[in-house]
Amino acid sequence: MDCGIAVSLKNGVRTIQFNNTKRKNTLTVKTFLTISEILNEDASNDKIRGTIFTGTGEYFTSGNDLSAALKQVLKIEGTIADIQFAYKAFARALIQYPKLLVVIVNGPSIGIGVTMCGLCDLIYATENATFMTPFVKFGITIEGCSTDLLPKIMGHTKANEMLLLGRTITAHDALQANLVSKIIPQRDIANFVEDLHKEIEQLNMASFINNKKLMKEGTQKDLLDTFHRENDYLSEALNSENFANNMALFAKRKSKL
Amino acid sequence: MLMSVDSTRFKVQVNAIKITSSNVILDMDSGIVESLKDGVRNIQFNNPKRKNAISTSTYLKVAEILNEDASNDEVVATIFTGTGEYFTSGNDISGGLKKFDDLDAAIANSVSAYEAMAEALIQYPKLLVVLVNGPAIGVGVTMCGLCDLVYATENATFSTPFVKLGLTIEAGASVLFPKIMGRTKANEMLLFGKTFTAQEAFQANLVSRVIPQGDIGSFVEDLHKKIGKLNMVGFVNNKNLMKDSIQKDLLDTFYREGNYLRKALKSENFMNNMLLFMNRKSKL
Repeated sequence: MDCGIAVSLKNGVRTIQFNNTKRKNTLTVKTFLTISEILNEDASNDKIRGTIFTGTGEYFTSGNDLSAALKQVLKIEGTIADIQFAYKAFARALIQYPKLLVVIVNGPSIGIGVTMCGLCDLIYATENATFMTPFVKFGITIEGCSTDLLPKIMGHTKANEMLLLGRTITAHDALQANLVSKIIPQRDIANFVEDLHKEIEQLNMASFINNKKLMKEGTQKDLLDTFHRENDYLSEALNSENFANNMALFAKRKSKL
Repeated sequence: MLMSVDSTRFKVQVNAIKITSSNVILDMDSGIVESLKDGVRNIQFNNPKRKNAISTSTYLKVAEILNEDASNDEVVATIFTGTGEYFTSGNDISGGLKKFDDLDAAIANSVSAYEAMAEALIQYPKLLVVLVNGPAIGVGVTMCGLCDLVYATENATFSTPFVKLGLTIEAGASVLFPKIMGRTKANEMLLFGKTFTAQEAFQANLVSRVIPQGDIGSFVEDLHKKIGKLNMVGFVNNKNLMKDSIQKDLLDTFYREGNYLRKALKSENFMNNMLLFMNRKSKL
């Protein structure tokens, strides 16, 4: 059962590591569905305090596994509807998760790896982390409620460089734009994670959950509207000629490697 | 040549001698230089004797270009910048009011023209870039909230003297700037009239990037290349998606601001400040 993740639990802290290392930690339909299941179960498991997402090896994640979409375009197998269903389950699980969500971006992060940051509570990055969202290039649309959340976090001019122009943002850019709260030097990661675990173990959970709920009610009351609207745009885009053409180009380039 | 921006609002007839609308005389020179290269429209504020001030005809000209380009498939983006030392010193208030016979008409014309440009910016579906090449004042700053990417050179500054002049915040900035910059920084700029340096504007997320003076040429070239490679269908669709959630509130804010502005322009506070301002200028 290779879902592309390594999962562990220590003192109430769930760690989910993207580890499809042969494919730059890409996230498949199975990955999304498995993570959603874990998050939804953990949400009501009193032993769980929080979830840390990170990546194994060089990459955080190269994002949604578009090869499945490629196969559909080339009429081989799989459906685009599956991809969208799986991504939606993942995003919804993040939106609804009441406990602490931490992301440690350990390397290049692409697509959903970036947009999920708007839905998580604490984002840390190592110096070599980068953030890139190729939605416009591929002819698909921005997701993870980041059309609403990222401009609010980063300001529209910085969010747009990334989301609309497709520029790669460095860890330092991300820090300056308030997307990331701290940059962790490579050598300090182990200590950092240990300290983080200790902090999480000492959290007053009932109060944390109550306050996170309070904050989200105010700042994210239109979130589900945004989510639905984004999904409508995404359905259309995934079935568009523009996307199919870009996938064909992508397939061609890959086959030449 | 009939230049009409919005048929319910403002029609301007250009003939060889003058532009007139209800006794208001407008400048023949629209105060911009524009060009089109590889699908990128460049609009440069160009009124060097008046620090690139934006007159009524400038607003209308810019609105016209944006609205036409919106449905011209050959145009993929617009880049705003200024010629010379200034980006723009903003609305040319005194210039506009000097030539009035009827004050009410002057105010109505002036506000309508600014609104035409702001509306054109709000509705423009393609890429809007601002390259702030020097001091930016008033609408030169607030228009940044309506554009997609804002770059500034090291010597750029951002200043909004609305409170000092007895005017009101415009172009949606009353709502957009606190969201972009955070309340306290937005208030320093909009309510206190603090001048922000390029670096401060960058740190407050109003500016995407500060470009060192020496790198501007290559930066613009690089930007053109990036724009040239954009998947325009994907871009327009995603920009639309992002604007969807804020568009209605933005237009509401915009009209609300318009009401405040019209009131302020007729106020004693503004008139007194204008007289002081014009007095000071005439003594130079």
